Amino acid sequence: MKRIKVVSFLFSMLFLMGCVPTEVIDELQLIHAAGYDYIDGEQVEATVSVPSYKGANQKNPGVIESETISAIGNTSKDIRSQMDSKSPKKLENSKLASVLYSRKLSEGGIFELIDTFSRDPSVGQRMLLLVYEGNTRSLLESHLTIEPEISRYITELVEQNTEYTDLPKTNIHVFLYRYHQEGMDPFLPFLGMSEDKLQVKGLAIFKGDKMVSTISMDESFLFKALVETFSTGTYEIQLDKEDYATFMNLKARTKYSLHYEVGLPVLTAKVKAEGALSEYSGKTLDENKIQEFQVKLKEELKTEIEQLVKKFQELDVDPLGLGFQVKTRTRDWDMDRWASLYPDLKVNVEVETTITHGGISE
Amino acid sequence: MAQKQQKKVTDLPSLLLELGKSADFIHETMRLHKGKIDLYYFKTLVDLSLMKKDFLPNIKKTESPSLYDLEMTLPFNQVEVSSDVQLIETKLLQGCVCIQTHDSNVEAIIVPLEDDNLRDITVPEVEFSVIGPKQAFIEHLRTNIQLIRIRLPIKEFKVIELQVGTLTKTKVALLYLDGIADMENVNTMKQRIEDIDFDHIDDSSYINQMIEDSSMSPFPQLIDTERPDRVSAVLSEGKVAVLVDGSPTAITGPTTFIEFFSAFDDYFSRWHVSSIIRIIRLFAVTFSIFATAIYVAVLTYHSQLIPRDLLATLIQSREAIPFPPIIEAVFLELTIELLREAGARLPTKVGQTIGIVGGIVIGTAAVEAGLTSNILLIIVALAALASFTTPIYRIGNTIRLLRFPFLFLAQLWGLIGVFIGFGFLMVHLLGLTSLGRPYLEPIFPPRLADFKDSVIRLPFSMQNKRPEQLRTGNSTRFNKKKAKAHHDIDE
Repeated sequence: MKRIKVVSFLFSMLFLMGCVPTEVIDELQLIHAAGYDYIDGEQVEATVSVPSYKGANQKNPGVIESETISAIGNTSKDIRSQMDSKSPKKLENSKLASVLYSRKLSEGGIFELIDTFSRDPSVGQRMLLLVYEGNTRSLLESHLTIEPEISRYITELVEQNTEYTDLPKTNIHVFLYRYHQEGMDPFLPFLGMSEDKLQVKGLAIFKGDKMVSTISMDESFLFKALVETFSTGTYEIQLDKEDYATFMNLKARTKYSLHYEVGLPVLTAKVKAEGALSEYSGKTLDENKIQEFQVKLKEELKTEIEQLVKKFQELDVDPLGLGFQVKTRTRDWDMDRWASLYPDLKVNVEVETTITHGGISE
Repeated sequence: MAQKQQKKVTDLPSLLLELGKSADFIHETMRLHKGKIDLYYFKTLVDLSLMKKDFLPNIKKTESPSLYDLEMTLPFNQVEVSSDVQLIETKLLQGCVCIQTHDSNVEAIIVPLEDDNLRDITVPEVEFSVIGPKQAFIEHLRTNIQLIRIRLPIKEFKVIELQVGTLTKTKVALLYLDGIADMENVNTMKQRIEDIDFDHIDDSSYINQMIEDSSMSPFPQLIDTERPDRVSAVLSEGKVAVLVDGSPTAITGPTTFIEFFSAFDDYFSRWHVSSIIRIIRLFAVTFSIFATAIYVAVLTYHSQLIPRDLLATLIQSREAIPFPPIIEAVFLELTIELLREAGARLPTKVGQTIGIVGGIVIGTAAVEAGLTSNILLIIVALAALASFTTPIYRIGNTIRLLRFPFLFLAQLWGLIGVFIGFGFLMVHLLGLTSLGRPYLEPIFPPRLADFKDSVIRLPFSMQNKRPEQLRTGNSTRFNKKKAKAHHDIDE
């Protein structure tokens, strides 16, 4: 009896082999990047960028370029079937690294388009979502000289800026978390063209799934300091016309605390910034000068952060997650009540700065 | 057949008549001063030069041809007078000379004159080490035991002699250290050897396979070694060893899975070096089993696992290949196995040429012809190389065999298949025993103390206890506290 069971198990294994669809890597058309553009209220145009290995062989890797496939439709399913009809190999999402949405489309709401990716198990949670100021199709079709494979260019550009400069960390997971979390609004990196180079221009700020505004790369540093701890910030301050200094590798972290004044919540953001002066235009940099810069840096950061918070309050968006900070410190937190409180919320900003050294030169 | 051959011959004359049917059995009648004597022997077994030089002159000098006079005068040890027909038969077949006088029809003198025909003790070839002793066992049991006894000149070193094989009558020696080895191990081993019922025993590997705990497992459960130093070392750890006449390898046990990856070299090098090398070996074995399987699984099912930078390289190398990854992998694995097998069958010098030329030519040609991708070629070649790092030859074969089921599981269900296979492998290993002791020790059951000489080898100053695994009679190798105190020369 036991033997019959084992043999029948082995046989079923053998015959069920065919039931598992294989997806051999060279028989797939791996999508590396995708872009969505606004057509009209109902239809969107989707473009995918796939790598082409023309002329490359085992000995000569050649230059990898990218090709695009575009389709217009109502739903992503519809678009996908149109794309499949244009592709010689099976299109596969598994290596999708970045998805771009045009500004116009983003302003109308993009949740449905993101949702399809969040439901696809082959798509990674670290996939980048980006907002592009122009037409994404023309971007994906362009062949920029600095990196011929456009998807790689986009992905590496954003990754590099997240890791080494002032762009806060974003991906589909972060977006959906901030989208679903009460007291927070999502944000995405905002890209644009600058002559023949692609450039991170700042952050696109969302209210729900609709883009409402952008902030510049300078503001992005302050933004990053308020939402995460990092140590690679760059900031420039000016004492007077000819006397300015740049701080590199600025470490920044923020601690929030909450208290009540006359029954109303008051949020205090304590920003700690620590860094070294890496560039100075003046002649001598002595202890006094450094002290002077420190005070200046402190004042400037304080006013700018206050301005940034004010700006968000006026737009009635909360990408900093101030509502979330209050929520975690409040019992029986009520979203509707918070929504009415937020525009007039009093936010105290305290900045503490330390300049560790003035560089290695005397 | 066996029954018929073992037909009992009860009296001496009919025994001699029976033996006389063989052409190399000699019956000689010698005239002496007084009377005659009869000599019986196998000319193919006795040492003829010794016979001419010492035996015959002494016989001729004898005054009276009586059995007891002869026993007194012959200058050989172990000369005995016997009327036991069975004993005489055995001795004659081992190379003794049997002398019969005319006074007795039932009694005879047996004089041992066997020709040892030894080969020289040579350098170990399978377990060669750069540092350390350069002796290997030979096919002669007595010499082999001698090699060990020289290393262990103590009265506790005991040898039990057994005989197996209804046709070969192979002598088997069971070695252990009294008071250190667990008698349970000794008795288990002894009983298993005594229980062997087989007609022809050629080598210790026959016995090895017959006394293993599980003969269905692909894993060897007893270590075989050709190094007398290794045998004496494991004896003093409390293990049991078996030597077989006619076989240049000893069997030692109980053993663990990890022990198969420890070369005897490890004890000659500094402990840091040997620890790292052992870890490398274990890594190499894991790589060898899983590398091709993971390649096939990832390329067939899991494109998302490939890093972005590797993607282009992989796709380009596969672009021109008409087969799915599994065919490509099986083709290359079989090629490597063919090369190895051909190399092993051919004489050494030709074998090396086949290995190098065949490997390079076939490898390069297969890539150029677009039959395999060069990345897979590298993986398969590395995996093959990694499987050769195992110090015990037998486990290397097991590792190479294990690759194939994993390869097919990877094709069936991708990485899930590989992990299902891994699960089965672990369950199998956990269930295995060596002489009734857990095979996967000290990993499971976890015994921290036994890690000192398993995956890593700690310095000798920390090896003060014998392995817990062996349940030794005396677990202390030396007193650590006393050993710690360093004495200056003038103290």
